[in-house]
Amino acid sequence: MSQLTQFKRIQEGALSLVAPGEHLSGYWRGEDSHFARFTQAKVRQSGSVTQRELCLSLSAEGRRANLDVTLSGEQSEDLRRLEEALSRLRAILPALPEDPNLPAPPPPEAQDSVSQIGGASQIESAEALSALLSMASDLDVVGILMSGTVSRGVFNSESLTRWSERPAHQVDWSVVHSADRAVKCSWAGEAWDLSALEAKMSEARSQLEALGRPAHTIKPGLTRALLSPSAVSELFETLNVWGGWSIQALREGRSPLAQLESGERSFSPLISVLDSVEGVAPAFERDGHLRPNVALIREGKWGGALVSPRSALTYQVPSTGATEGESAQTLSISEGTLSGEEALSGLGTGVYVSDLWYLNFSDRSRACVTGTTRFATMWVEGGEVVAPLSVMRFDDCLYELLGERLEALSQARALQISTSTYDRRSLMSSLCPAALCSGLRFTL
Amino acid sequence: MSPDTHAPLQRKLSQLSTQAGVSYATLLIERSEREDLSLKNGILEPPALSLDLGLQVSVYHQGGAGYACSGDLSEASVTRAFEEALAWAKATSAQRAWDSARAPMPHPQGSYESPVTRSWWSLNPKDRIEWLRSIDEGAPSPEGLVHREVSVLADRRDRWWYTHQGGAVYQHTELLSPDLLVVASRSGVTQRRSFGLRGRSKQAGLEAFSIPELRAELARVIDEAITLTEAPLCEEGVTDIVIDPEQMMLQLHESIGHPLELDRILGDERNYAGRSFVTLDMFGSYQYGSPLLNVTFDPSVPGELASYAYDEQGATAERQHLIKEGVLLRPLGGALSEARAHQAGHTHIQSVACARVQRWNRPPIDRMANLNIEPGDLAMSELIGGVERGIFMGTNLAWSIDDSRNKFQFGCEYGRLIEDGELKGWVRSPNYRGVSSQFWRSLDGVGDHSTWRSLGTPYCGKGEPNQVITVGHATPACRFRKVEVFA
Repeated sequence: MSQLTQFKRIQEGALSLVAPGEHLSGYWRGEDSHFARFTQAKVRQSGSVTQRELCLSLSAEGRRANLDVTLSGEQSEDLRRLEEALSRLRAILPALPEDPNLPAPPPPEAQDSVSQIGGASQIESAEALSALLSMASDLDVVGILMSGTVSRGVFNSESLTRWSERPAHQVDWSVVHSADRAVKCSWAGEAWDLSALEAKMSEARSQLEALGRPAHTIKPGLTRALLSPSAVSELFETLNVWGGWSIQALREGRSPLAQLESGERSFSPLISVLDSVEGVAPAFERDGHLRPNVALIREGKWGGALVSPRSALTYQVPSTGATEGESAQTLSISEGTLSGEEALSGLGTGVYVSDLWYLNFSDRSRACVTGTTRFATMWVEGGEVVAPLSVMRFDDCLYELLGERLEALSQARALQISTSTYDRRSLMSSLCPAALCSGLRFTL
Repeated sequence: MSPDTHAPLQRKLSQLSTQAGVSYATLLIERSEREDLSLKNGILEPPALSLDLGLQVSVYHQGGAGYACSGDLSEASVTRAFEEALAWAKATSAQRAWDSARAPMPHPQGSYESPVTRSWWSLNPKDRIEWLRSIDEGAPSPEGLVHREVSVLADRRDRWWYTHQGGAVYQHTELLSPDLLVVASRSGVTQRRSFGLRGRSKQAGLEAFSIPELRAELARVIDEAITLTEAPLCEEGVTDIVIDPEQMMLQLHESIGHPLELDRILGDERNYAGRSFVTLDMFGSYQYGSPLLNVTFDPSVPGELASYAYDEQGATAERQHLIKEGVLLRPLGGALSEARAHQAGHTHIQSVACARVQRWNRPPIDRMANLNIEPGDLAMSELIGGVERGIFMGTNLAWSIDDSRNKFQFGCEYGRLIEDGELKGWVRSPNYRGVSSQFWRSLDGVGDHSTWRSLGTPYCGKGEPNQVITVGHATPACRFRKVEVFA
């Protein structure tokens, strides 16, 4: 039975249990996933996960409570679980005070917005895994293959229905030269494309020679740097996941972009950032409110906050249909003018940062971020790659790094689909250029 | 859900295993319930509850291994999951990284229950909300306080773990985690105080938390946040530091816990969580820290967050020294990782019972559980008294460490100057950085039991696919010499 069919049965079952005076909404998260992790080009763990979750929100008399329930996919059992869930919610509602910030449901609308049926059987996933490892039998590769179908849907007792389902196959891996020197690779698609995987593997293989050279060490201080799209994405995702654009985080004094919002600080005019609806995430949040494009940074200045329907009432500002956590789902950073050929020559002598790792704030209120270099970060002289760089810690203020020290952004941008699988497969993504900076502040 | 309910599922697992002739099969069944209540500036957020059920079948066959997970607890689901797990074992047998035929295949029988006297779940919904509100009511509201959040996270979890030849383990855990967060902002300076990463989490019931004490703590953190907005920035330099348990927890976690994970050392995590500067040949001889450093894996501390009797590969959990008098003895690796190390010729490696899963939908991997620093013999006054000029730092705010778990940087919510062996004024935004392999050798004072606190967090992330798990960290306050500090 397809996930959409199961969703419709759950919708029908749940709505049949709604009592007069109650408002019910259900947010569905489903996946049929195959995971295979590998190390040294051999399989470490492989398995399948069939997972259906329904996030129920029950409102009555100005009160609301939420309950996430795992479903079985079997109709009578799921009806029993729904009854138990609703019984829990009905038990707690009378104990709640009236909620002054209870958002109204979105207007009735039935929309099967995106439904791309595909997926992959266990056999197809195992075959793709075998082919991938065969390509790399002479290499030390480590990483994970993920495949299957991921769905999101929402319904409510006011006849709203939205649905999004897509086949999602991904491989995220590293080709290791030795110790901490490796080339990080990723591929994502809606159908397996072994030739594309082979091309990525060949490209990584061609970079291994340079990783074998004696490591170059630099002293702490400012050093010219070319940040790859992956590194740029890490910086912006750090702002994003710690509430950079969240109206709630801004009002609670937690946002790292408070100084940007207040106009005290700005980024380079080259930087514009959009939370785009063009990515792989569904265009709706858990109550079914649609998520439009939101300009977050306009030419270096504050563009706007992400506002959930609840925050809109709390802070008396218009909603942007943001998710509960008020984080951007698809960060799209503006492209620049730097061509691929000009990137290394533009850097001249400095560090090409392929990947950044473990970013966190050393001073959140001033958007100062620390982290380390990782994987194939290289020392470059005269526009030529010379040697791998020994791992360095940096600690820098993003208003400076991506402000007065930002020289150019690349024309080409890379789409990066999140590989996060905490609890479930993520549908977040980013579209980022590379960034050429006159200095990145290394500290250790 | 009683264990009797599972008898048909157990029989099904045994029957399928016999028919297929597999070496080993296990069935994990889990039911859990969670509640998250939060008051923000006195207003109750919509309560967030969850009800979770699911199973995982794992199969060893022909040297390969596979698993399959489903939210369906029926016999038909066990059959489907068994077939999928078996298919994975067969499909990957020729390209396996380890030989399941040589892996441990225990069949333990036993049980564990969290030491709870008065369960959170014994309260009705109204009383649960009242319990939370009673912490918040009457909280001070000084000028400059911009956010006050009082919350509680409660989780109760039943896990049944069966093997195809009669192994049967039942474990019931209850987590209770009250938390505080306040933010103050004055004259353009914003500061926060909290319990730090839900650090007060325990396996316990309401008896472990006193409302008057939590109210007093709320008043204290509000006062401290306001004080910090007027405090000078922490000065930059190389100095001596004394670290309180709310920061030691993270220091221990990131620069001892993660680097000792055996699956990292074996290379499994190099694409995601990272590798380790620790190598297999170091166990038994490497001087990890000063002779004052004693680190244990101890699932038997009553009420500590990650206590249990068996891990999710059936190993019996026991207290073990990982580091004794500064010398590295054992990794944080489960029986399977130990077998893999032995298969690779490192037969001196000894395991602990730490193969754990987050939920039914993820396979077991090596995790921290309760990872503790044993108390020393110095009172807090003696720790501080031994510093001529330095900083006392507390409560983690930010953390970052390289993928070999060596070059780290931590930020704390507050600092106090130490001058001539006495605590002096407050400093804000204290940070420090160092290198794990050198830092622990600069440990020159370990607090006694009066400074030792049993803390923990539900937020340790790792693995592909990703898993977030509970860890317990009990630690005394500690003193380190010549550390690089800055704001």
